[in-house]
Amino acid sequence: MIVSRILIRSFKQKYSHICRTLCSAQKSNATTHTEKTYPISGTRTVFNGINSQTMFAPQTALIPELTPGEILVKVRLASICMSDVHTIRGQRIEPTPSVLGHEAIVEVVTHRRPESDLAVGDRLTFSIADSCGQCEFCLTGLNQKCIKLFKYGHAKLSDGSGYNGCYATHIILRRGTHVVKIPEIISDRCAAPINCSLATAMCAMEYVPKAKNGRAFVQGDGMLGLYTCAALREHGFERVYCSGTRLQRSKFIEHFGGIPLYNDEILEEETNKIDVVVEVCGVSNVVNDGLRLLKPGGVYLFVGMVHPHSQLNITGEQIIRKCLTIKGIHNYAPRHLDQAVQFLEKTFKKYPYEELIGPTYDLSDLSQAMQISIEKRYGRVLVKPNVLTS
Amino acid sequence: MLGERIVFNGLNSEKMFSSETVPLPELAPGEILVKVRLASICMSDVHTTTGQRVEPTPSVLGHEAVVEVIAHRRPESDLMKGDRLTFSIADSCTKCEFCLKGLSQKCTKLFKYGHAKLSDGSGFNGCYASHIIIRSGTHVVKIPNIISDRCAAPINCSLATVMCAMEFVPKIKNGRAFVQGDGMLGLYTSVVLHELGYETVYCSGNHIQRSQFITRFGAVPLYNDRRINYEILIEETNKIDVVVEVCGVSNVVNDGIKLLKPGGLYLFLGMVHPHSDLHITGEQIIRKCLMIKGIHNYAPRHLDQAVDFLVKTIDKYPYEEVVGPTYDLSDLQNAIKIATEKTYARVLVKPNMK
Repeated sequence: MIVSRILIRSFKQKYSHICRTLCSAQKSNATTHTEKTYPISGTRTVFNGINSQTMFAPQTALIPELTPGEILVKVRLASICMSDVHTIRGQRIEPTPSVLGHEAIVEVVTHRRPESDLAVGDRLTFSIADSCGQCEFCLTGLNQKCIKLFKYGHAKLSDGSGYNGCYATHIILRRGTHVVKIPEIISDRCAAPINCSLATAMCAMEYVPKAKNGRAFVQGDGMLGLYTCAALREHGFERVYCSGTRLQRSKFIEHFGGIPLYNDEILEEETNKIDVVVEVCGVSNVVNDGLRLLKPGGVYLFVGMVHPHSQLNITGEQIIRKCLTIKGIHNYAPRHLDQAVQFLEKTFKKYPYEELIGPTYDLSDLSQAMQISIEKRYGRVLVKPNVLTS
Repeated sequence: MLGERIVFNGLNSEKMFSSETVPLPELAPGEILVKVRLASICMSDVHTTTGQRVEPTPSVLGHEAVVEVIAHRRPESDLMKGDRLTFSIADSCTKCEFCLKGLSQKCTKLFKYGHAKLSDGSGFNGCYASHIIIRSGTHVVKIPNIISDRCAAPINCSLATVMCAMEFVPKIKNGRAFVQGDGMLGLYTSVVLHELGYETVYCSGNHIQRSQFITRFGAVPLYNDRRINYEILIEETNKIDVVVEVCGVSNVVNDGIKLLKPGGLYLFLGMVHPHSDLHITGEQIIRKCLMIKGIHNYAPRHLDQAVDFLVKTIDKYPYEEVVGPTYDLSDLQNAIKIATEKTYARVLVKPNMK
């Protein structure tokens, strides 16, 4: 068995279909979960940087053997997070070459976590952050700032196997990556954005106090904004305003429990009356308005401004005189992924999650899919790889 | 019975301060008539007299003092004539949403001693006076004998505010803190963090004469020596658990943010004036998952905590030595001038010294 497997692995890609046939024809005696039909290669879309000749180039590469703790998954459906859009527009810098994409619902192909209850075929979401579990940040529940942090969709191609991002047929999930099974009730389309957008919203919610007859203001009506509206309502907030610039999506705000504000509605009457303001639009000029609206003792969550063009035009006095709390939320910890799946399961029939999600593009059409994302017509645009190996 | 008060007429008036002697009114239910034993000059009053802050005028300034009960109408209390007290700067209603959630300093019916018009109530509303009429919504705490007048005077603004700030400071094993400012607030903050178990507390400031006090209050002094500060900043970048701004200057905030470790806490106390533009980005706050908390004044429980803390540590730290000379009430203007020079952490004022 071992000899034939070595032989098979020594063939290059052009013989891959022969190898696949041989592979699946073999009936292995040691039918452990690690030795079923192992795909020899996968495809990933490599990002070469915005100034290169081909910004995105498909690459077929061998899929290595798993090391202990790893999970080989195939990508069922990936979604395009706005941060990837910012990367291709030059507003963010990511290492290159790399495989972008960090939101996806995946399916277990094989794994080396014998202590877990994972089974081949399980649909999973997974933590963007691979963390060590032992440093001071992991130990205080701030895994996203692990000293040995690795982030899917944000790593160089040369890091590990290179199957590090969701714009690919497969991902190799590392051993420090928390995974959560997706209940059947949740469709692939609704599951894809869980592991960035929804989990981050859950992390933000950890800092939201329970306020009787609470009032909140969500600045931004993208995926983060709508998830946050729903989460605040479920948390018991009586009134949740939601502002944004995507007029064609404002109808969704109401469906997600929010009160839509249009254009430059000032909301004078709520000055000093809002318990929680959440910035999820990535634009710093909304912050003065948020500070005005907050009541003394209120909480301001900053979630979207993860880029350098986020200069704040505020004074220390504004923060002090109202005894405000400002909390920065970046990514999330493993518990928030659990909470995200639970939240979605609990509220799946209550909110029109399915309607927020836009069209699906083939992986080979990634550039086009990104273009559509930029237009911000949909909460999310999806990408689906053609899975060549099973 | 007559009482004397120094009325502040505003910066642009002929006489900025003028003395006035008027009869003390009868007490209403819940009120306490106290005589001022010793008042201290808080930097915010200095800012008022230099035009950096605007207070209503005419008014009686001064909001830090240790006082003594002359008469009271709180029969349910155990107050007695002669009791030495400290009292909350804020008179609050206890019933509004802010009082009910422990944020009494933002009471919808807030009244602040030293910040109220002369025409409000009896006018005996500030500490630069012989007497104060303490209102029915004002929390008071007795001062134990072990605490001298000199050490007691700054409790009800400076020390109580620090107690409020400390409510947000986590107990951290081998914690590291950085206090930006070496005035009364900075010294108190250093000592409280030290008592809370923080392993290393840096305290930076502009007043080199304070450095020996900083050491004795449990902190490592950093002075306006750019080279040393720069070295420490580099070494401690991303390693500090808590940074506390108590200097009122906004340009220290960028350093503070650099020093903080991911998940760290920044407390803002000093920048209570409009010239406090922050030159920071949202990204800096988000990427490090920082928390910034604004602290303004305090709630009644913090006054209790302040007195308890001082009683517990009065023999351990040189509180007496950081407080400066005492001036007669009639010399208020001069006393404020000395306070402006920042030679001492506090300058004191006493009515009827002569």
